[in-house]
Amino acid sequence: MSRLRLRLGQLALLFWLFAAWYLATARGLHGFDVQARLFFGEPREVATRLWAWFVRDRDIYPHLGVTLVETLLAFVLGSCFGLGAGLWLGCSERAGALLEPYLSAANAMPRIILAPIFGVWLGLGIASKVALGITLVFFVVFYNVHQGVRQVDPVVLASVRMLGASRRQLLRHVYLPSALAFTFGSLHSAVGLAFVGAVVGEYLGSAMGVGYLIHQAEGVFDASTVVAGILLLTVCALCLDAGVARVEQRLLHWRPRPELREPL
Amino acid sequence: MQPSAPEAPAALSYREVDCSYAARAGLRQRHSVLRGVSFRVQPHEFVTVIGPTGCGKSTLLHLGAGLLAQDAGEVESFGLPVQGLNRRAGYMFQAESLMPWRTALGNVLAGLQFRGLGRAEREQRGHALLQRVGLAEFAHHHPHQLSGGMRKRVALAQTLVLEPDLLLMDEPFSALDAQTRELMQNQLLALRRDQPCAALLVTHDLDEAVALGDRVVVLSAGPGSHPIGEFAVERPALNDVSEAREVPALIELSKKLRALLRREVLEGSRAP
Repeated sequence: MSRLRLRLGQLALLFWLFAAWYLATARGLHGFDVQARLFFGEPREVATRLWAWFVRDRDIYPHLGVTLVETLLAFVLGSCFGLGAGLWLGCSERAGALLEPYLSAANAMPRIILAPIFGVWLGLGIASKVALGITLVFFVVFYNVHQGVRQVDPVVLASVRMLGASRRQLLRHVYLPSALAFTFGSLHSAVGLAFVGAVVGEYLGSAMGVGYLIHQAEGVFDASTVVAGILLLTVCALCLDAGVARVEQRLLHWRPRPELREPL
Repeated sequence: MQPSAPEAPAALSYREVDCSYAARAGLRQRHSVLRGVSFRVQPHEFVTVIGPTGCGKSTLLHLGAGLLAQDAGEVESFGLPVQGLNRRAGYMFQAESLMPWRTALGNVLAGLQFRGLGRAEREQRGHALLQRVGLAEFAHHHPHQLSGGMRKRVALAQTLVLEPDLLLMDEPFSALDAQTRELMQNQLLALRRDQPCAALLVTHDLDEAVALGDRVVVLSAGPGSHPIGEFAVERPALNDVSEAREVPALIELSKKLRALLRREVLEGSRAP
């Protein structure tokens, strides 16, 4: 399928989704339209809400800014910590063995539940949301880097050692690039999780942010505002994801491009 | 075979070397790979080792490189026991060993970079060697954009750029087609003329062993492989390995080796 046709197909799918939504919540079209509007909001009202946020009242920007700052901080810090810890534990057999059960336990724990605790520790500002986001992002990145370090090609490793690389040079020139290739797959899910951390944190206790707006709207059964908030977050997450994809392409340009691979 | 007080220390010498590996992780039981292996590689000499598959040829090289430690016996390189990596040796692996995230040039000059050479000098030396193996215009290609033969040439340049005194090669050309292999063998001979060093090449290709080696060592079938014969190769210096097929003395030697190997392979397949 050509690129253009693919895009058109994707747009058509989006159109049909919105059309179905519109028909399901249209007034007087069927017997349950009131409930449908209560559950799903109304496309026209969602559009009005978005218009008001961005153009008429221009009151979304501080909220959106707070949420994006939280997300970006959580994403960047969580990824860096994950990368560092993954490299360290992947390379140091003893530290890895020692900490393994604790990391597994921390990973298995439903970490969302830490949100209220972070609220108590760090207050209702952005710090508690960033902390929550970091705990979510960290493990995804960490496990992938760890895996990447373990799966370094032993032949490449031996060869580079024979070329006289020191331990530090091995880390920099073999482990890191090899782990990065693994990590980028996880960064896509990490972006989503950073948003989860920010929004859930806001949802559970804050005075700013898109999560806070959604929470307020839910309190008064304003489904359209809730949906508008969700749509807004989705678009932001997509943009961030595209950013990660661009960085990935730059850093991993040495990999064979997928389109050059033979189809199965 | 008997070490009799040599005037110069050998580039690599094995004395009564035993080597084994754990049959399974955590188990006491061990598989013996090499038992009582003794032979030497003199400086500037090209020794080839042939043997049936699974006879521990790669293990032999790993010991020489210091990537593996023996259970008993001595492995010495230029008069010093091999402990840790052998800094005077270069190793060419059978499998793909290039760093896929580096360009051909980046791979070739990696060793110089690790030694802390300045950028200008290492790029110049890297370029010179890439040119020598005929890949100058591919300097900025990544390994996945090169053919298998090209990658091997990059790997050869990568090893030789450090000017090793001892070149260890583990079936380096076995994955290549016959024409490319011959090309690479000629290139290896030419490079070694410019840059003389001791070389130890293991292979299962008898013709390669005879065409390249000054001496051929034959290993017995595993487990517990050991040399069962050493043959000096009497021949004029070759410019092209294909000439080896027409030298009567070499044809004679090939026949002898083939018979010896056949017996070993049969024995190996009969062993439990």
